[in-house]
Amino acid sequence: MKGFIDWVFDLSNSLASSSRPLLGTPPFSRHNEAHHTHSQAPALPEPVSRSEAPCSTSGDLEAQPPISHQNIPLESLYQSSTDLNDKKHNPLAKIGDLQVQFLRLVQRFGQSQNNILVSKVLYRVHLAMLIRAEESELKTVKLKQDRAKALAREQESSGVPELDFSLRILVLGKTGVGKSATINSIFGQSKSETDAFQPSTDRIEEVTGTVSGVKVTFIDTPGLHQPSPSSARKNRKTLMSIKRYVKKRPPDVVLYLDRLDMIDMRYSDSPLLSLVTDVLGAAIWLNTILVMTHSSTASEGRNGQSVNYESYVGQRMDVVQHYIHQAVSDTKLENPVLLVENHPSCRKNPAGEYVLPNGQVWKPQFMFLCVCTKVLGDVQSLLRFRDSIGLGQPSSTRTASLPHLLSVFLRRRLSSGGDEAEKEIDELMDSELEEEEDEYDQLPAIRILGKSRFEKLSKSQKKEYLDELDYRETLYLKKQLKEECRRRRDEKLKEEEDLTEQSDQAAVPLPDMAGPDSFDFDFPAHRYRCIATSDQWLVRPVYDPQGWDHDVGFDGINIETAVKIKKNLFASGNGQVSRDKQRFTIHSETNAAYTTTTDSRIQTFSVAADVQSSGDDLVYSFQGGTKVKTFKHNTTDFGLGLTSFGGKYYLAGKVEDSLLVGKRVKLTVNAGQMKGSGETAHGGSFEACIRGRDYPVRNEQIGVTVTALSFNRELVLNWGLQTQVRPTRDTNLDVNVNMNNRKMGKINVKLNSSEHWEIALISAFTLFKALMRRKKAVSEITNDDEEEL
Amino acid sequence: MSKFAINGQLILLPEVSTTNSHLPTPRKHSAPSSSHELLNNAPSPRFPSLICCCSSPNRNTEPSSSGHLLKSLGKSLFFGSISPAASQFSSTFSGGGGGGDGGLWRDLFSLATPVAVADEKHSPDWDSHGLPANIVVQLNKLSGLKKYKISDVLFFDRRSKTTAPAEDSLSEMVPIHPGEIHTKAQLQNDLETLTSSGMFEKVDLLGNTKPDGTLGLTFSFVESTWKSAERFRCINVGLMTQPKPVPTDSDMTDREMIEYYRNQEKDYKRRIDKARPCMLPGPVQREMMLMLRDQKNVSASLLRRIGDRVVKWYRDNGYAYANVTNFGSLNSKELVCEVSEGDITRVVIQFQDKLGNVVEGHTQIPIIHREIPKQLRPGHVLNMKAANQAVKNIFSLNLFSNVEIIPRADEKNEGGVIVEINLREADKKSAEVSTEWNIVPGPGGAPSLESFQPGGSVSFEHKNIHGLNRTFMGSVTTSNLLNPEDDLAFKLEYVHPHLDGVYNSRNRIFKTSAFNSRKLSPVFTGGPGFEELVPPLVVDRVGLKANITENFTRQSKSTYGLVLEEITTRDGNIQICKSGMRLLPDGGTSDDGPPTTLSGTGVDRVAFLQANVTRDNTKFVNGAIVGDRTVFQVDQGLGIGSKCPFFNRHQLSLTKFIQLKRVKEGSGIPQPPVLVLHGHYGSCVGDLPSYESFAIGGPNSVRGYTMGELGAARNILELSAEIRVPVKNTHVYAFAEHGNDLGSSKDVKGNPTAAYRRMGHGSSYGLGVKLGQVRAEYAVDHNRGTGAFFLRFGERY
Repeated sequence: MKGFIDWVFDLSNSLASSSRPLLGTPPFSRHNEAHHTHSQAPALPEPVSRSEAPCSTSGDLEAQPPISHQNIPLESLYQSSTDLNDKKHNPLAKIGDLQVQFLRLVQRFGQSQNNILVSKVLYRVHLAMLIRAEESELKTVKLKQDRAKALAREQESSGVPELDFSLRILVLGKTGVGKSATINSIFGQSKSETDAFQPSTDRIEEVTGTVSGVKVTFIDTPGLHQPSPSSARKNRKTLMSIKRYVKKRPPDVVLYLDRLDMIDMRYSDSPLLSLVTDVLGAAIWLNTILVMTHSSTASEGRNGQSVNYESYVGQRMDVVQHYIHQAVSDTKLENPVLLVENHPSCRKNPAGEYVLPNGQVWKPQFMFLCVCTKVLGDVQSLLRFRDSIGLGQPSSTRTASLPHLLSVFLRRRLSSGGDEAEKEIDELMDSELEEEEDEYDQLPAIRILGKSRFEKLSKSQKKEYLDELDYRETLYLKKQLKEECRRRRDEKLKEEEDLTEQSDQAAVPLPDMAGPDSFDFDFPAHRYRCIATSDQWLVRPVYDPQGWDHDVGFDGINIETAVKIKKNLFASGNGQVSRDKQRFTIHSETNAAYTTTTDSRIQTFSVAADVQSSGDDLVYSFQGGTKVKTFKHNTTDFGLGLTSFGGKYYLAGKVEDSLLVGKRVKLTVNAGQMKGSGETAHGGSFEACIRGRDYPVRNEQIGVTVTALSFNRELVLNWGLQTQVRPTRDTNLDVNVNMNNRKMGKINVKLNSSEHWEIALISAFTLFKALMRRKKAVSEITNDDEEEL
Repeated sequence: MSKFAINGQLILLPEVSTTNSHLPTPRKHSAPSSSHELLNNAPSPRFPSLICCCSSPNRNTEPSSSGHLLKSLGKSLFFGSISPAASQFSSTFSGGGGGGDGGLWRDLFSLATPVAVADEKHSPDWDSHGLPANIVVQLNKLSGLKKYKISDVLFFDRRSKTTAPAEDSLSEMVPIHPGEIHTKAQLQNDLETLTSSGMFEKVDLLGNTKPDGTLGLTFSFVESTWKSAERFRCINVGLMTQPKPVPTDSDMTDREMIEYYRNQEKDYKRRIDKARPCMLPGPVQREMMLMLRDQKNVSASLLRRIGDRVVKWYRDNGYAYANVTNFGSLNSKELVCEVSEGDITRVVIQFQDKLGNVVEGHTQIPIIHREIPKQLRPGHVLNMKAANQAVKNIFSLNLFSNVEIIPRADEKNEGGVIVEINLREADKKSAEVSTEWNIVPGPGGAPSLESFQPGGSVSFEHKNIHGLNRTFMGSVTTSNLLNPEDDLAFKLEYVHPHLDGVYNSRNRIFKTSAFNSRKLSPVFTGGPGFEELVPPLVVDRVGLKANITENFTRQSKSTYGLVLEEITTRDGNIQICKSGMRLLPDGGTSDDGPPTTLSGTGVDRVAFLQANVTRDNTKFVNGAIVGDRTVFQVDQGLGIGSKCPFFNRHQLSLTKFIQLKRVKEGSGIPQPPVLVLHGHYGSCVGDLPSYESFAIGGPNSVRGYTMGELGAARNILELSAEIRVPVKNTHVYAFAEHGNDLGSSKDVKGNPTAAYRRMGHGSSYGLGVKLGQVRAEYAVDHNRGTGAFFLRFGERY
């Protein structure tokens, strides 16, 4: 019975943990000791209950504590008055009824009230009542139990009122485990057709009868087939029909039957269990009793030696339980186990009841366990606990890290329409457009040298010549950029007239795509052939280098779009999504911006909605903000954000200001706060960036970033340095250094050059080293092999 | 200047894509995530209007020209079409015009060029007419000193007594627009142009004074007409010398006059006979004929309409440089329309440096020449579609950062076009090193480097070796560049195109590459319900592949080559494993599954030949693929390697895309419904390691299942059918597929299909919709009877 105890125990534990504030200390761990009886919750907050404790430890149920005796009349008076009003609405009253019924059944099945099981159920009922009871009712609850006991005894002896208790039991199991036979055994007559060799139940049947005055309804189901690829479909069909049936008339108890005498350490039924979970839902296992049929068969251990019956059953049970755990991915679940033997030649006791090899009479046990399960189930449903008891991986363990969300929120810039960089450059160039004449045009003409003449130059001349060309190129690019800006500005003015002009592009097939390398045949380019369209949608595959062997490895899809809906309404979105049979991941950002220009002030309103999958959950975040150009070179940003993750909501707000000092220095400061699930995080950052003289033609810049995040009185400071320089022509060097106050950090150095190809020699070195290492490894392996020989 | 330029870049990234975004500016696009972006900036050449004018037959309005004009077959009416892009043609035209003066053309062009107008637009001030409002003023009554602001321009047809609508091509002949400022001299000049255009018997210009000081203009005109014609003929006069006008003497006798015109007539006949037939198709010519027959007589406006129609056809078909230059044999039964189609006389390829200076190029010219389509070679008519294609082809060589094709008028050959291809070469060499160090708290608490060994990646590329588009490239990525561990990923590749020489039309490409890959095995996966019980198995491949590809057409090709490969099978912890595993209930794993390699050691070496022949004549019909494709592939083991593997593995796949309805081709027309039938057969003979067995199930095998969910077998057969129904500009489809191992799963060593409880065969059916390159589908797995939603990139077939 250990299973059942643990089960009750676990459930109560999980309840206790959810209600800890109310109950105070929960010393439940010693509860499986029989001394603790139902009558006392050990940690009731009232001093009264503590005074009762010594009495209750005696364990004698007949000895009613004197205090309760005194209280009964009062309470019953009170109770009866409320009963009339609240019976229908008050779950507590209903539970009280249930408790009485249960106690009557306990008596009827001849189980002692000292029975662990009984006490556990009662304890649970009591606990449940305590949790649900409001402050004012606490006293009532405490005393009700004793009263219930008396009431039950009274009613049971008089037989009035008639016991109104019925059981609906769903029977599941593979074919031939004896589902119908068990039903017949319970009723003591052949109510359901059985066959020792063939599946005899081919549809869902209801078998009704009365056992010891309890109306019992069995839902007999067709047997499930041994799991195999070909039976999966059939089993699913059967389960689907059961699901439909059960939906209409839910059972109180579920029995999952299996044969005790089947030895399969690998337990090939695990797909079946997952299938049951899949179709009927994980909650089905909460009310399930595992039933082992053919229990009297002489048992042999794994190695052919006969083992202790108990340990054999335990072992067998553990395997089944393990796979149920796997199916629901929750190891806390403990299903009670019943042993059953339906064979007519089974040993019987004098009363004509089947007796198991361990001397147990299984039938009353069976009924009693069913009753217990039902009572607990009812209590749960009455108190609506079932919802709170989640099976599977507890989702509450995955909480969002507030600092992380905040830093994402602070970093996320709302686009204000169009190409941001373009706009900034436009702004930069605006001032230059008028004032300066193009330097490039003022340059003296240069004669471009032919290849042969260039070769004739001396080294220094060559360098000078190339430097001159480079200088000219910079100026030329600047000039082009200016022209571009001018053109764009003109276009903007013109744009108001005709937005609809679109050239009709001829349908030209695009060149074939080049795929990733593989040792297979050629890349199937034909699958990715397409026609050039002037779509605003940009769709690309996401390549997964760790994909399937013999497959291209295009696993997800990357989508980008930018639409100018109206003149000042702009929307854009990009995302990466992959949807497969089992898995779904998404990471998307959408943004819409509306720009108004009043006088000299440009104001932009933006909204953004991001979705990101994190495990099986989705993180939604919405952000709205406005950007105001307060005065020249200064823009201020206000943002509000709402993030939802795992049923929790986080609210955030931020202010950001960016200032352009001169043409080359940009300062950005922001600060924000995020609140959610009772916690708050603050954060802010400062960014300074000095651009090179030739920005934006040459992308040289030095930037310093400092960010601070404070959460739970802890402050994390992070500073970084980003530099992009061009040490010589055709060479770019990026150095990024990041450090935080935990003394952790990262240095990134990136160097690219179109002139100095020598740096590629590093790769030659690496490959050489790898080859050497490999040779060594191979020789070691061969040495090992030789030694083995 | 109509310019076709493609500007874009190719970034080597694992994400590969093709796209064509149409952006209005040819700016450098540097989205880091875009790996292949084709920025196509090809504004369709705008030819705003046809300016119709005529020089020689203007005498027919003059009293001096007598009745003989009625017979003047040799007389021609010149049609010139100009555009901002065609301004360079002005010089060509100046010589033309049977007897007319070239200067007129020039004047016309200079008037028509919007530049001139634009300049005037900016002149700040204008003068009021200084006259009472609402009176009609003759042109000669206007003051020559004032600048008049024009408020509106009207055209009044005296014959029909109607006002021509402003959008009529008439208004485009007159470079005067409301709101502009003109002087009397300019107006007089314009009027003269119109008068001399030959379109009108008479043109007058009247001013209408407005109260606000501006001037309204009304051109009242009488159109010229000729005798009605019954037939229509169109000839190509490109590259033909225009007939030199024989100077006429004013005091010729009538006889001489008749003789003169007869000669002209004869010359013209000869000219027509000599002319090449033009491309204008029959139906369009018939359309013209009908236009002629409908009218009692040929009026100037009808000619204009015909000219417009003809030019429109050329424009629609990409012949942007085609012009109607002249209408001949007026007043006869047959109207002759002379067209200069824009024949290419020369193709010039030149290189530019970053500053736009013409320089010597590194690339060898034949490399580029090969990419130019036939239609863009001398002797063909310039077609913008071909030019576009050339730009694309050249750009896809991946050697140039900018490709421009500029057609220019050939000054030496009348009506000829020189195609100038300007190329800017991209950097030949590039190398990039990116390294990373981690900082961790050191022993003393001070931050220090985790290790001095840098992790990161090195990549390099040397393109266009010897100017022959040979490429050598490589990349190395590892967590430790100085002493690489197991996580090393590398790739070295050399591509040698034009194996048979640049001048040989046969295009064979030699490619050799050494690389490694690490992927999940679809052979060692669990069947339904067993997914979690089978730990993943990684197939680690490293080796060398050398092959030769020969392209027969754009899509059909054959490849053959040699592969040397070492295969290592590893478990989740990158440890070599010899046989398949499964998880035990106690959390451990058992490794008594099927052997993963042929040798049984977890490491196999193998050398084999590989060949692939693809015959593909599919094409796009309004975006739907139609046609059929056959692919045959074979691997032949050479008996070299671990356990001397000798095997043959071959596959044949047939796909037929059957068009179910005939549709017209063109943009905006919906796709036809298509039925797709597909079959794939594969078979292995000889030694077969499990990693080379055919996996059944997966997005490209049997949809609705994951890779290998149905099994791994020696022989496979896959059959599928799909019906595609067009919806808007895409299609929805329904499909049914079946994959079968033909009972050959048991012939794979250890029978991984059965060991991991897979069925060996399975069917699926479903529905889907194609959204651009993405297919979104709901597929029902028939074995389990459950459906799932999938998103995939690219086609299944």
